[in-house]
Amino acid sequence: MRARRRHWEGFRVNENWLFVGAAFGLTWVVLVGYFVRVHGAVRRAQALLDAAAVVPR
Amino acid sequence: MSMRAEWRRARAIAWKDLTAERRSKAQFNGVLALALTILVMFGFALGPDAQAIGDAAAGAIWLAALFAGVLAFNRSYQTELDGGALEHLLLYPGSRRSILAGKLMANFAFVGAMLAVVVVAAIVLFHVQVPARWPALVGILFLGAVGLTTLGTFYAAIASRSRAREVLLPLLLFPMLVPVLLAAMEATKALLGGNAMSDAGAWARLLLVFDVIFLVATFLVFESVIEA
Amino acid sequence: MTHAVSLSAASATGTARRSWFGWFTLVFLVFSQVTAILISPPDRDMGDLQKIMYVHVPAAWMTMLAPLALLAFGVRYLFTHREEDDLLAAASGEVALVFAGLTLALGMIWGRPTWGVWWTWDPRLTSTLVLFLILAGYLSIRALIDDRDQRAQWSAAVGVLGAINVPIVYMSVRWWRTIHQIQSSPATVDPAYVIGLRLNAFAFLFVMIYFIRRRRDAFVLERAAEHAGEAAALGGLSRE
Repeated sequence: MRARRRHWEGFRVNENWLFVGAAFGLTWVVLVGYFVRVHGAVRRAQALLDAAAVVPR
Repeated sequence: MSMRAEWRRARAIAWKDLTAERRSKAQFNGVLALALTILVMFGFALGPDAQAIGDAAAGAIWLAALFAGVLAFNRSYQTELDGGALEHLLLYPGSRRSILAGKLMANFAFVGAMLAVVVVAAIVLFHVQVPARWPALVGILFLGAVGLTTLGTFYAAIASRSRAREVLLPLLLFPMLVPVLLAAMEATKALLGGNAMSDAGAWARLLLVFDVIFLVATFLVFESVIEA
Repeated sequence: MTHAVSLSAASATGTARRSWFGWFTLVFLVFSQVTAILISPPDRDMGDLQKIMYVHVPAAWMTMLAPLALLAFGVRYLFTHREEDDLLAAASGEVALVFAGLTLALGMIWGRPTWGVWWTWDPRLTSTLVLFLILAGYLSIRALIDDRDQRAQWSAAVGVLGAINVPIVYMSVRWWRTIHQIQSSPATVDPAYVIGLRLNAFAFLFVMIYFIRRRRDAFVLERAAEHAGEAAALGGLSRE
């Protein structure tokens, strides 16, 4: 562990924020992206349903 | 349906599968040849250094058996699928579980025989010492084969009846086999390496537990799978 | 025979409630994330990397919960044969896959600066990977089978077995790692971080519930649209 820490001393502390940012960014991208996908599916299905209901008997 | 009648039914199905197999011996030979070929391929991937290859022998054995076995499992439902025999089989009165039991026994004989040959080949090709505790090794092979066959037969009931069956069976089966394969490989590794028996013993016990769990689970769920 | 889902399941009032819950979930999530980031001090060893815990750990917990939902709905379907249960199981499976993938990616993002590698065969990460594959198989089955009843039956069986296997996989991988004596990942959580973690855990839980219900709504609507389409094609509309 100590050897590893010595190796990583070359890393500026700022670099950590890159990873933190990537983590939170990825999380939001995935969650929002999935939400958009599901929302789109609901919209499409609703549109189909409305269209089918309009068909005259 | 009484236990004895169910048992007779299972045996009948197993016998049917095996004798159909014997008449077309080509199929067993083909799958066996595939397993050996895979073993050799592993040899090329890992060798020729004796040390590296010896360490990998256990893994190579089980993976070769796994890849070749996948073909056997899908094929085991082939006779029922061709000519719609499955519907007829389901029409007969009797528990669906006996179908699973019969197929399990037939597949187990198949996989067991294949494993035996593969292990001998691996001992030769991978510079492994024949372990002094070889009965224990046989025990591990037995337990591992049970686990492999149980899950393989179960998932093949689904995969063989769907599109892209060659992809679906490995895709479903391999992640489910992780515990069984890990236990079997580690136990085999411990025995082939001549290491302390205790390691292999612990894994063997785990493997036994896994086998029981998966046997029970698949029997419980098989009915809903074969009817669909 | 699968009993068809009633259209009332997607009724207007239900969707309105979903909307309220959705907004609440979003606000709570933002609140939890911001709060956790602001109030937590840097860790001794990891520094600010510790903050990744506020997304990685809740995601990992949801990765354990969602398959449980899949198990519950799958088992219920096998007993009731109601389409509702099948659709809930399918939604749970998909959401579980999303969280599993996210957990894996976040684990790698955390692992790289912490241990210097993108991947270790750490028991929890490895089990999550196997779970991811199991879920991928579950969704493949649903995609490959066209017959509705067959799909519901088979995916319920596959989902139930898959979910049962998760703790077994974890146990065997952990044993495998102990045998080979590789160090395990640190598991202790400093009390200073507990509040932030708990907040985010609940936030993620709400997100998971919201996603499952919303995804189920989508399935229900798709199914209803299919029925309506079929009925219209046959001439005349019938509500089941």
